[in-house]
Amino acid sequence: MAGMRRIGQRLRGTFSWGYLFFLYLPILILPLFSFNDSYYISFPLKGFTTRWYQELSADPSILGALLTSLQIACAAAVLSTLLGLMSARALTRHRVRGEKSLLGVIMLPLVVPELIIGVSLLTMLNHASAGLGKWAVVLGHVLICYPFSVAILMSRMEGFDKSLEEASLDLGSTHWQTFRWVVLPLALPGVIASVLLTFTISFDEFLIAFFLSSNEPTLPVYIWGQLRFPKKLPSTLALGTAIIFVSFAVVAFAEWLRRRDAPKKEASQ
Amino acid sequence: MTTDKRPAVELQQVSKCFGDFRALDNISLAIHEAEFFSILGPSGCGKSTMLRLIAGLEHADSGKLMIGDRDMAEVPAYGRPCNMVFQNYAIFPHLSVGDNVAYGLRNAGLKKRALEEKIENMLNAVQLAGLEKRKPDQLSGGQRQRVALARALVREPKVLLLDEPLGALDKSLREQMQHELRELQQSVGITFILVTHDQEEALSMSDRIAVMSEGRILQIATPLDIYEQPNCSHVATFIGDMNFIDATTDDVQDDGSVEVIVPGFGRLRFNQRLPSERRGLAHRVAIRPEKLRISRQQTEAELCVSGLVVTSSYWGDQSQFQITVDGCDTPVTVAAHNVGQSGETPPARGERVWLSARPGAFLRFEN
Repeated sequence: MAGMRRIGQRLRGTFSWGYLFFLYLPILILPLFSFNDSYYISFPLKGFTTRWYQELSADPSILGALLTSLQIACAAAVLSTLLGLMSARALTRHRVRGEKSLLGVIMLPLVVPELIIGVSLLTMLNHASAGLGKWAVVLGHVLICYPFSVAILMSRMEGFDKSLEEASLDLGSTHWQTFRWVVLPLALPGVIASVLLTFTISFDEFLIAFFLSSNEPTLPVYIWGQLRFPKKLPSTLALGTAIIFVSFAVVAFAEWLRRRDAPKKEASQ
Repeated sequence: MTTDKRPAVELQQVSKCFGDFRALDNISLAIHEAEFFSILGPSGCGKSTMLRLIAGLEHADSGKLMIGDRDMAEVPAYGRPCNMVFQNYAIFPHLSVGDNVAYGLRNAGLKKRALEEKIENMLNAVQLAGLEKRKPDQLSGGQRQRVALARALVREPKVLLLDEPLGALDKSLREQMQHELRELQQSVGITFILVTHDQEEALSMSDRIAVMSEGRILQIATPLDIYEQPNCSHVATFIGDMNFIDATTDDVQDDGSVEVIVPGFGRLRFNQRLPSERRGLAHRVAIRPEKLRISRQQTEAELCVSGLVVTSSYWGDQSQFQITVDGCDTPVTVAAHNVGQSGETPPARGERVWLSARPGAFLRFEN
């Protein structure tokens, strides 16, 4: 029996290490070769250089794509969080008819392939002659970010004590003031978490942007285009490295905020 | 009811339903200025709904609500001259004690100096001085309760509404807060409306009590009258303990008095008639356990009957007995304060004892 258990433990250890290896090794390749003094991604490493980073910062088209991506991500994050805030408020506070099915519809973009969303939006916008570009991408990104916003904000607002809002009304504040002074401050960690998470989702998104961005490529779309030119590859690696670190930092910060003051249900009893 | 005080709050034929459930059924009542008024009833009787209706957090289906001389139909919760202490206190968790108390003054447009002074005075009044920087989660239950009180009172409302404010506190703190609330009400001189299911709380604090059941008011009276002269058997059973004995009207005299046969206690004479009084009417007489006196010898009292002790329990300050009176089927409960000298043992199970009472201590209720 003891032998079986030892084998089990060893298997479990092997699996864990294998998992981490496959997950993180490819990602580690990026920073590694972004400092390698060679056009080709192959061992042995040639020498340390920061010239890809210099090349990157001197390239106006890549910086233009970065700017487009930042604009789209900001707009998508703010819009989906605003919509999410309103929906979460309605779903947690008021009795909404067909609440379950409504929530199902809201969460649907999580399971609909982005490819389908991209193609259908492309077809529809073309038919409507609405034109493609930044705003088309924002539209698509709000669609896929909105379920995340709703989920985050609902879990935050479900723990709210209704009597807090009643107390605010009773103490002479109007409904709007109550929202401004009680609901929003209490929901704030959720709002920030939602903005940060949806920002990263939009920033990383490729398929929808690929279909809808037209002649205003986002960063992922631009990088995809550059992969055809081997000489551009190292500076793309440099850019990827920078994005990974910023993304990690942003998500970690969002999660930290969310956990720091998650509603304490037992304390409100 | 005294007529020299004008009503601070008045409900006229107010009804409120939640779906099929009638929370308030045609309620009319007037609460005087500077009165400590309690609404007492079991849970689900509509007492909290009534309080929330006065606060403007619920709206009546029909009827009229007046606060002072203003009709409240079109006045939202934030425009009403009343404030509420919530059952769970509803302290804003993101604000400090001082900011919680200041919350109700945000729209008052006070200068910083005047505001600070007001808050300081209020915190002193509820004995929270020096805690204005604390966050609510650093407070004890009693302190949270005081914050809720201060937050409501700082707005100088005409009426303070209290929704079971002492329910979450332990017994000794509750008794202390009962006393403090009563003192506070007398010093600020505003109307307090207290909702509670705790009869001792209502009896000890109130000027008047309304006893509610199933959306209706059964009786409104002073604590003394509620206890001594309950107007129906519901009120009698809800407040304190009561012995009920089946009885029959034997004779209705021309002068209005009636003679009633009470098994075991004989023929009793009452001066007041029941609404449907007639010869042979089956009804119930009732007597509080402490109005029956227990002794080992027969006494000189007008009414003195003999019985057997069925159970005897010793509670320290008092003892309770169940006694079957000869000729009466239902055993009666008797409460006796243990004022005797030490070493004196109370009557034990199986012992023969005598019960005496004033005939006037008996009440009568229709079935």
